[in-house]
Amino acid sequence: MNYDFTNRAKMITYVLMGIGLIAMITGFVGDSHRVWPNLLASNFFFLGIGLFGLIFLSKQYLTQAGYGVIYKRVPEAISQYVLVGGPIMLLILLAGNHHIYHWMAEGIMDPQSEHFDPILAAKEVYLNQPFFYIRAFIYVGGWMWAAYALRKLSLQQDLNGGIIFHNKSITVAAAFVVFFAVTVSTSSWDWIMSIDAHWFSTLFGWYNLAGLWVSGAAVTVLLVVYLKSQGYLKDVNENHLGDLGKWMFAISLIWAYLWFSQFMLIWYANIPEEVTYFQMRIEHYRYLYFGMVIVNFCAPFFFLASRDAKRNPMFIVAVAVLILLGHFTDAFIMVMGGTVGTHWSIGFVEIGTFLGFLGIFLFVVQRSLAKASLNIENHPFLEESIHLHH
Amino acid sequence: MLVRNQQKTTKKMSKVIHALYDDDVKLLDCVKELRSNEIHIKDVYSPYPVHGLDVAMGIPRTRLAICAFIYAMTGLAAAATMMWYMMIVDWPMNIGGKPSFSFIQNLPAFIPILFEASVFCAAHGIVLTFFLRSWILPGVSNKNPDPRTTDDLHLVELVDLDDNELSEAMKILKKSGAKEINEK
Repeated sequence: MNYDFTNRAKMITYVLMGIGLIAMITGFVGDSHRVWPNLLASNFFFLGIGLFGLIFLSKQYLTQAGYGVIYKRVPEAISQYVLVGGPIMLLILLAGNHHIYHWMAEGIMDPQSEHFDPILAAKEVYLNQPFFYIRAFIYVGGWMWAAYALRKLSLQQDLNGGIIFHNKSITVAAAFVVFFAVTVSTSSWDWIMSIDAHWFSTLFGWYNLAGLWVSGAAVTVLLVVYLKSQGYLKDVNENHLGDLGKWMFAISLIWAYLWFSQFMLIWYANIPEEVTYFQMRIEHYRYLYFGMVIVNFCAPFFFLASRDAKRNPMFIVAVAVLILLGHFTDAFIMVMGGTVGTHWSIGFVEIGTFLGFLGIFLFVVQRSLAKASLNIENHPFLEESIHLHH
Repeated sequence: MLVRNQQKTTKKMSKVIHALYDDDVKLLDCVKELRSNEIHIKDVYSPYPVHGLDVAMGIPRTRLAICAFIYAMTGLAAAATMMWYMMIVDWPMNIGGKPSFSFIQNLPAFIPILFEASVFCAAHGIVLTFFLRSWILPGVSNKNPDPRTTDDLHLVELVDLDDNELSEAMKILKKSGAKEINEK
């Protein structure tokens, strides 16, 4: 049974995209410095969710796991956002340039210039524009290839059966996992950490990986519950939901662990060049910043710890929404702290841009859900997945 | 099938029936069948955890998780009190110029210990609770009715059945493909 992408649902995504476009235009007419970071934060957030789709599929293939097979179209559909969000990311990086990245500014690496910054000049080997864009193209290219290949092989598997396409998927998944393990770190260094180019944190990549993983799990939960409520995915029951709930719970704790590890070492050492990052965020984003940490840690920890809570659709949806808001706020503060800094605000531009990207994301996901049957066929672990029981 | 120690029918008895299985699927079917005929199962012994057996036997879910939470909170509170007394009240120390007279401002430094203490108390607490609750203690003799259940056989134990139940149970056990049925 294919998902029915109704005209009403299409309309909603168009309206959201329209709001995003208007927000972007008003932003550029007003203060263009506010728009670029917003575009980056929103697209980074949704691209991360798209990448979660790829991680989830690869992980399933590589570990020969059966539990997620019957709702595997959902992570597949999510992963298709990489095909759209990837190129958008490249556009934002190419056009945003020094509006986002201080180290790209004119003369900053030039000893003759009055803008010369010796610390940034010392990082020129890695932080220079040609290499930066080459890297960005490699990351996005690799991810897009994986998103395309995994989806195509999965559909062929359904069509033809057998084990050939499944084995090919495993090969793609293995290649992607190795590639992604490196690029998730380097891409978050490049795109997010280099905004605060003087500052660095060695676990920044894992921190972002945990963030995108938990956001993606939350989106998967929302989509699975939504599809089930619409009468699709009939075989999905509370056992499957419980598994997704466990992902949200576990990765939220990893995220909190990494956040705290990053925070505590810097807080303890109290070295001026390191604390600037947190000083900006704690002094000027105080309630948003700590609110985000509390929501992202406490909501899953206290609400999802019990087994029954993880198997209750209403409960898990509420926590998933909280987590998504929390992790978007995290991405927002990561980008805003280094770009607009003290001049941040949450207004039409910020909310509108987010809604715009939400519109694109929902459009891509629903279109891809509508393209192929939600009922999986011929997957070697299908039976195991249907009879999943804890 | 081997039926040992078969006695002549008696009216009221407190007999113990042990049915042994070499297949966990047969065991599960038998347990479900017995339960649907409202025959009380004293216990089932098996060499490894049989998936779905606790549900089939109607055993309520463990409350060990609630204990774990309580122990973790106890550990958290104990560690917090300890550090508050040592580091703030009794002997404040200047470590890296941190404000040494405030618990809340030093909290990031205390969190790893709070975490470890919670885990320590939760882990040891649930293990000891489990031992106590299942009475697995040094010097306690084992309750295993047949040593073969530690090797390759599953055992269903039925006790205190009246005549009707007994005949019903024997029928089910024989039908279910038990390897051996012992009455004592």
